[in-house]
Amino acid sequence: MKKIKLNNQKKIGLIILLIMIVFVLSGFLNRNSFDAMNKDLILKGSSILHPFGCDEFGRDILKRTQVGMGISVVISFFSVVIGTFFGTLIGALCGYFGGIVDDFLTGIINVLFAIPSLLLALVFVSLFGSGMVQVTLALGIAIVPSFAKMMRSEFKKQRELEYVKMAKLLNVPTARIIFVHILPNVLETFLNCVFIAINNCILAEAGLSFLGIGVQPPLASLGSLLSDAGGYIRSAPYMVFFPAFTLILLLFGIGLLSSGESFHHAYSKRFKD
Amino acid sequence: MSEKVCEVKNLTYMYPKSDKGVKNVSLYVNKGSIVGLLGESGCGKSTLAKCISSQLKPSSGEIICKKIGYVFQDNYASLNPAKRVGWLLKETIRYGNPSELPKADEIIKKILEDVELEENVLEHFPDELSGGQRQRIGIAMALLSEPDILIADEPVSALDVTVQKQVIKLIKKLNERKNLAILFISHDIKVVREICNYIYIIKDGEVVEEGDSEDLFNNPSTEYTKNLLDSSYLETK
Amino acid sequence: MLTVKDLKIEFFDHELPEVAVKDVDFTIEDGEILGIVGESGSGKSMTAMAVAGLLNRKDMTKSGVIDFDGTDILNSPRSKIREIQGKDIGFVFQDPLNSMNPVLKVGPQVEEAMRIRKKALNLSKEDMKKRALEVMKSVGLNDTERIYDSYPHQISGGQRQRAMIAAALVLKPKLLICDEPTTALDVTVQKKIIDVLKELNRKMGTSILFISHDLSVIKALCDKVIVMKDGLVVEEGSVKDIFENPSKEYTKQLIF
Repeated sequence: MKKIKLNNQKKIGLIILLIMIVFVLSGFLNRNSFDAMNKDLILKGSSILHPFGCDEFGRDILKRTQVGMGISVVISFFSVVIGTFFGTLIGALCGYFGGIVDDFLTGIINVLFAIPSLLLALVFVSLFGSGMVQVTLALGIAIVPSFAKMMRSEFKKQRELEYVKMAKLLNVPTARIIFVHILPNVLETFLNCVFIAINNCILAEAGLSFLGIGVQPPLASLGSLLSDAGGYIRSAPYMVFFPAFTLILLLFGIGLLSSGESFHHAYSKRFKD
Repeated sequence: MSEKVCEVKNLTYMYPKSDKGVKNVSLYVNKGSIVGLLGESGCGKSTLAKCISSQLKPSSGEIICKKIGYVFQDNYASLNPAKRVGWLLKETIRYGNPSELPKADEIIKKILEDVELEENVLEHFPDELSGGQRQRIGIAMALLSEPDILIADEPVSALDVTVQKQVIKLIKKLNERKNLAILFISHDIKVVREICNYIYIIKDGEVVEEGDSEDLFNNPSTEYTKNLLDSSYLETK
Repeated sequence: MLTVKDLKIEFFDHELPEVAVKDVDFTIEDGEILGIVGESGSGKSMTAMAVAGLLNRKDMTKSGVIDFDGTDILNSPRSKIREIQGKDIGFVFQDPLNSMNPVLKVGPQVEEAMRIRKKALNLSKEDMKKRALEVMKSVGLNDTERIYDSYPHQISGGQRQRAMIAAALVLKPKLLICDEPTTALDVTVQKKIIDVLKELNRKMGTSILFISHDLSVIKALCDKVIVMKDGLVVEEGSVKDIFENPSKEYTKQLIF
């Protein structure tokens, strides 16, 4: 594949993400328990043992933020995997074949578009119960439409190019044309979509958990942490601050990663006539 | 009487909802000859080529053709920009001539010699190559399926004049060495005159004049051909 | 009227700096047609853009002198150059389909140069339309009323290019810069455009800087010609001399 291009924004984004990963992984070294309650520590502010302070049950907020972010990221990661897989597949089929296939699949996509993703997730959760797996699936389905639309327009553009006609003249199997010939050419758009989708997923998951239909206690995600802390915003503002700050930093890092182009041509040597 | 490698009889293809297309065209290409299709944009010459290479299905008429190799005009778009040249050539063998796949490396080496390219281009992406090199790769890909006739749709139009000359020389050489028939499509009188033995002039989907290259240019019989010659500021030889 | 001296244009947008144009000198007198011929990457378009004051990117340097009727194009403030552009220098681009705005009608685009100077020139709407139709007629467009009210895609390539020339000529510039104006057109249309340019030059005395890769077109139109290769001037002289006795091997190759 072509060389990966890192501009300054991407570098900063990458550094932020690395810090976030270290932050989450260092949770394993944090000997405080994320669900053990301690009535001596209820709503205690920052201390050396509990740098982020403690919540209304005396649980360590640092540990809970680390666990919460880990869960948030895992949920978004898997929902993006599900969403991109089906989104790309549907988009590719629509864009490449056009005609009836396009009309049919685009119809379904448009119906999905008309339902707010939050509502879709609510329906999903009320049907199958709340929990991590259900949230992941619901978010994954919610991503599919926008992804499919993007991929559809990209494939539609590529389909008209002559290298595709050339492959058709050679009788290359259609699946190979779509995934081996065309897909590498839309990687730029694909990656940007993935980054945006991850961002949206983290936010949507936070939203769902905030409403109490996401991750169930005593497990935590960034959203549920914020939701719990909401009631104490006057008496213990640090409870809101730390999870919110890490959430924003994480989103900012991913946003920076998606800025600019991801690949550039090696141009190690350009030939001239 | 030499052998015909391609014959088109009364071919008609009209684009849906328009009066453009190809109307009742007949032509043939003999083995080892270079036949030119000359016409201005929108005259239907590319449509004709697409019909012959079965990219379009004609509404009536008959096409009898042996194995076709196709060279596209736009050498930027006709080579997949995300793949290395070596991969592209190999892919062409994999599907164009699968029985030869075990010997692919040898064949590629030989074909590069034929189109006068160095072997190091295999490691590069198409957009690192120059226009002339890309078009040579395009020709190499067309040759890999061992065609009897090469259909070249404006193969040199996007190139600089000096590079055009080199590519034309190459096409001529291939024609002589392999006795390969070539259907050469162009809007450029100078190029067509340089390379073709026999020329069909096309206007609005119909053949308006045909004849041996020099005859046609020295004694054009229709008004349109005269106009065409007059407009292209040709040097009189 | 136009003097270009030691023009050098350098780009820094890749890892290695790239010299696009180097040591280019030429002059254009009033009523003269100068052709610049060269292949892609020879720097001919860059030269034309520099003369028109259209090169303003941050990742490049320009040095030398471009003197247009006493105005230093390279170093004058942007506002000054904008005053000249459209009024004293007209520009015609290669691809008439891309250089016209597809969502605006042809007429207003022809009028554009007048409209932005409406107050200074004290023109009413009717005046502008009258002038636009007049210019469109003078570049050989028939049926000007219809074309005035058409969108660019509704008229043919030749008509589009004529309309572009009309737009460039609407304020009677002293210099018309044409960057490959006929390359995207059919030969028969090309000839008509060349004839229009010739006539303009003869009737109105407009100087023309004509860029092309096609020596035969240059031969049909220009008085003087410059042959460029890789940013350098290879050969220059009157069209007749260059065609009859090309001194450089490269020029001979260009003559098909």
